[in-house]
Amino acid sequence: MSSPERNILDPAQWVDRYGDILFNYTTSLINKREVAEDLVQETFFSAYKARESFQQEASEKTWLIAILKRKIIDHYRKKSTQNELSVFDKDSRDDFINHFFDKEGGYEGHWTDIASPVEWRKDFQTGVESDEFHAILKNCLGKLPDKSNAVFTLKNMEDLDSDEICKELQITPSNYWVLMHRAKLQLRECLEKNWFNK
Amino acid sequence: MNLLEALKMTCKDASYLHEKKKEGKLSFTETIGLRVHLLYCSLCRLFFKQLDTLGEYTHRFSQSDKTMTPLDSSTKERMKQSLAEELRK
Repeated sequence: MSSPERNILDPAQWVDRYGDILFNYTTSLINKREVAEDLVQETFFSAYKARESFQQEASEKTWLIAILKRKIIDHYRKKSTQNELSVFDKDSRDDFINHFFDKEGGYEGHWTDIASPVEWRKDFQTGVESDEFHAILKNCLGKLPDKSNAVFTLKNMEDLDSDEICKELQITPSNYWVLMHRAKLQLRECLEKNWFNK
Repeated sequence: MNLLEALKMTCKDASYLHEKKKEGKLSFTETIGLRVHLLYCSLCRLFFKQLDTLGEYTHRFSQSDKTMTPLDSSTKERMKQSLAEELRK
């Protein structure tokens, strides 16, 4: 076991000691199991290659998690450049927005009947600590387009601020607000249908 | 957005500002416009309230270990093997 004053890396034990912790951390941010497994594996490889840079004051675990975080952000960034066109394709964005807001007439920009927020059932708070709710939340997050999912997750679950997220994902602030708006509209609707008013 | 535009804010505009408001990044006109909009629009008030609640839940969710998903033992074995190969290099 490692002692606090002198930490030595022990790569042969990494999978057994930290595999589950790293995997669990990854799946809280990325929904696809296979992708999460790959990122954990790559983390071990990169860590091993970078073993010279390990500072003995840090714990092995903290160090591995820092490397993993980098991998996750890189993954999001790759995703976001791959999907740049489809996400910002004007027509698809309008379709998305038109589902939520009336597009013409006296009610332009007003909530549509199908997508307007409705009061949740009285006991909506019951069970929000349950595994069932968590599974539904995860599922709804997984349905968001990758880029919206990335900004929402980094902000709300990783506590990064918007400037950091824009920098990491290489997007402009106005893209950030648009993506966040989309994430919130879609996530709220999904949770309302599948949990809060079910 | 000028003041006149801000006062004619739609639900679409107002909902877009939820995140900006949370991050304290509303401009002066946006602040006024949003305040006025929320005064008369109960749907957007509800939207704002529900999103604050969701924000709390997602944050709590990220802090809990309840959803602990372990790696499959077969995946673990595979990882160990490829890492072991790497160590031998």
